[in-house]
Amino acid sequence: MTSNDNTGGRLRIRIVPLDPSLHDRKSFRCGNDTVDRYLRTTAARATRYYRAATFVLASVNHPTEILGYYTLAPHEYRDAELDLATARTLKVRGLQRIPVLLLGQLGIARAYQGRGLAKLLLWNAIERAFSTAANSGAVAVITDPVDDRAAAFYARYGFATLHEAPFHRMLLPMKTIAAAFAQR
Amino acid sequence: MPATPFRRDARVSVRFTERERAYIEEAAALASEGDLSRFIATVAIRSARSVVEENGISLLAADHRRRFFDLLLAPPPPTDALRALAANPVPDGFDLER
Repeated sequence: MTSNDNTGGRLRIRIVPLDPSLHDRKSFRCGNDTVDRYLRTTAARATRYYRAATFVLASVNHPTEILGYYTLAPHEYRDAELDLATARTLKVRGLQRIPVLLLGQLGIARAYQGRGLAKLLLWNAIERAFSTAANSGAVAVITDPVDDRAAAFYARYGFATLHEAPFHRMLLPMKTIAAAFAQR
Repeated sequence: MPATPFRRDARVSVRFTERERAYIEEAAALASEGDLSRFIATVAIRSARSVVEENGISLLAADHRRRFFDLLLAPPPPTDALRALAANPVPDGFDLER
């Protein structure tokens, strides 16, 4: 680490869109194979086709090294039995299609874990989800925690469990996010 | 949360050739994910989930429909942790450049 990496002892960092030609996706290890593999095999392609957006945490002076990342993707809930009153209240587009955003991946490189960076990325994802919702609509952020520790992490910030089988899915309503912004 | 514990009492019967079955058994032993039927179930659920995710669609089901709409129509207030994070998202030791 060079001396101008620091501002009064603080590491200067940025959160930027994944640039496949810049960021070193192969070396990233967060301790979860699925999260590591997504970055290696899928993130660049998903970015290229605008299917999902990946944001990378990197230090200003070593911009190729990925310290952490997350992915947001559009997602849709469908409900054949959605009643008219609920659909009207939610103002969902079409009667049975409910737009949400999927926080598909979130991981911090092993060497940087335990320093509060996961919650920084979570907040950045929430901010971005809120602005996406304001621009094109999304009633909630959903995520599928990889294990109990991840589930406890999301629960602390208000993600509620929607179901645990066949996999764990959690949901944070956009209105709850809006209230967090209003109270800032 | 569902009131009853998860019971695996739904059945799917699948036919394989002898060679397919032997091969899947070997894989199940290597993966040490329980017995043959548990292995097949785990793999099937994993594949089903990735198909659904690639399509960006989730279907609401009876066991969580109510909870889904309760959360959206009566959203809980932000937790203290979320409010604290909103006020101060950048951890000590870091300087976030915008």
